Amino acid sequence: MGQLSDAFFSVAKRESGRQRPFLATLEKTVSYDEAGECVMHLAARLAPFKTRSVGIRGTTIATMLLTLALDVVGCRIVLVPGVLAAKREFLDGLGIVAVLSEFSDIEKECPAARSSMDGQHECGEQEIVLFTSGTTGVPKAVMHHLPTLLAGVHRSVSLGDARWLFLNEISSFAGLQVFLHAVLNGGTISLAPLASTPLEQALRLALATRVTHISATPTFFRFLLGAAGQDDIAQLRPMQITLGGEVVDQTLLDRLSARFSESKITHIYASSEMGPCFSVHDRRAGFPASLLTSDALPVRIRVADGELMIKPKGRAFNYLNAAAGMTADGYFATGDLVERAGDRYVFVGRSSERINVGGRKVAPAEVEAILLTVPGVDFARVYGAPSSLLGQLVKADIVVDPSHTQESVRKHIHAVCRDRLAEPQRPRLLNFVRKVELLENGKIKRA
Amino acid sequence: METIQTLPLRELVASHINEMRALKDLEPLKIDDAQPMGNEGVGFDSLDLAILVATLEQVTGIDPFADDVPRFRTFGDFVALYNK
Repeated sequence: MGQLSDAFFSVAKRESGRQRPFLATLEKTVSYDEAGECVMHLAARLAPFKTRSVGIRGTTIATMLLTLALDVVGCRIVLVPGVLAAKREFLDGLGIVAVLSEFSDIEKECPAARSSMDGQHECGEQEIVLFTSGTTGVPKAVMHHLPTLLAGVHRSVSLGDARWLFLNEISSFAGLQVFLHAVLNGGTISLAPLASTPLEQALRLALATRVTHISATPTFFRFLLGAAGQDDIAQLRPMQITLGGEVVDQTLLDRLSARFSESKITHIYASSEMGPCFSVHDRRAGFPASLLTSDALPVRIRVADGELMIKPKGRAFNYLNAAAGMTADGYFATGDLVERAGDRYVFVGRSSERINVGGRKVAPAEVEAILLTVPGVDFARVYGAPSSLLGQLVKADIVVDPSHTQESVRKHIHAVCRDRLAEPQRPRLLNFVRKVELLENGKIKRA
Repeated sequence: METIQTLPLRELVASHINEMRALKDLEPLKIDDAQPMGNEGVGFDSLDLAILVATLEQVTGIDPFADDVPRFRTFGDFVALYNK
């Protein structure tokens, strides 16, 4: 039995007979007792998969229980995002013998798994694999050592009563983190994956289960605040709000602070490769420059050519299907661009998203952060539009708050950008849209 | 030589130029064909011009600079590029 399922069963044993909820959806609640019984039953059925790479997909009650059961059996757990689930050839190439999302998949996938197991090497236990988003090529399979991940999970007695709102897929690092925190501390998970749950339903579940911890992307929280006229959102009183996965701007932190004045608000820097690296609690965008010399982090940080570089202190990650691409002294180039602003560094976007306006480099996130301060701008997405004369121009998709007119917002945008941005940075091509597209992982679609 | 088509196009380009001038706090111009397109004329630098061309492409579907670097100096030259 792995450390993850070990932790789960120690809570299940302690809470035996008390009907303590482990998983909740709008339709159903599963107690630790029920979950424990189910996991043992599943583990027996999963025995043929021992020491193999087994994929898990979805974010349902079944997904969560299967994940624990695979840990009991001793498998390499591969968290497969929805977009990759149908790409069996790609997954086969990584030695994944089955992909499970429902209990009945165990028997369905078993014969195929058996034949492909012939002559295959056993893989290590206690390994967990996630995929990078692959926006710039083939998704990379990142292998983590599960005990190292678990060692990084914050444990405290108070988290035993935590009720976590689960919005991401478990295949995202953010989703996995919530799952691990809930399991290791014996909390409750309210399952409302945004990929399949409308925001209103996620909110209803959050209120019905009185969630105490909400961890989501900045985009999700902007949606939440946009719907804040509704009374039920006013009843939402999370102890902890955690943002991650996208750049967090000061405007959003200020709006969240105003609405959730009693909540602790944290933003986390993490990546599929490095895991959680640092978190910021002072409700200010970016991170203190002092982190570059801090010994208290699980990683070492430096900035080279405006890019954040990170080196794990412990065991480094591996890709299953690519070279890790570290610098000679063990640093990983994150692709995240930062800029020094006083005693802090602020994030200004991804190196792959940098816009080149006639040789002048523009970071989209920096422009987005300014646009989001403009009254009447609900959402902004900044990107490079092709220009026959200058290579690229800065273009912005804008969603206008219905209480403002497009023309007044256009004027405000020009006025604010003229004050706060250099000429090539100013988004002069404005595209007013009704909504921006959200990805399964709760981030804004950028490409 | 003017065709019916060129009239609205000429006005379209002129109105986009004046909209962009307004954002730069410049007075609207009565633009004639001899008006130079550069800084000394309509008051545009290369960035402004690139934006004008991108905007006009959205409206007309035409980008005269897409696979050529045509020469032009005046407003009249510029409009003519869209009439080819």
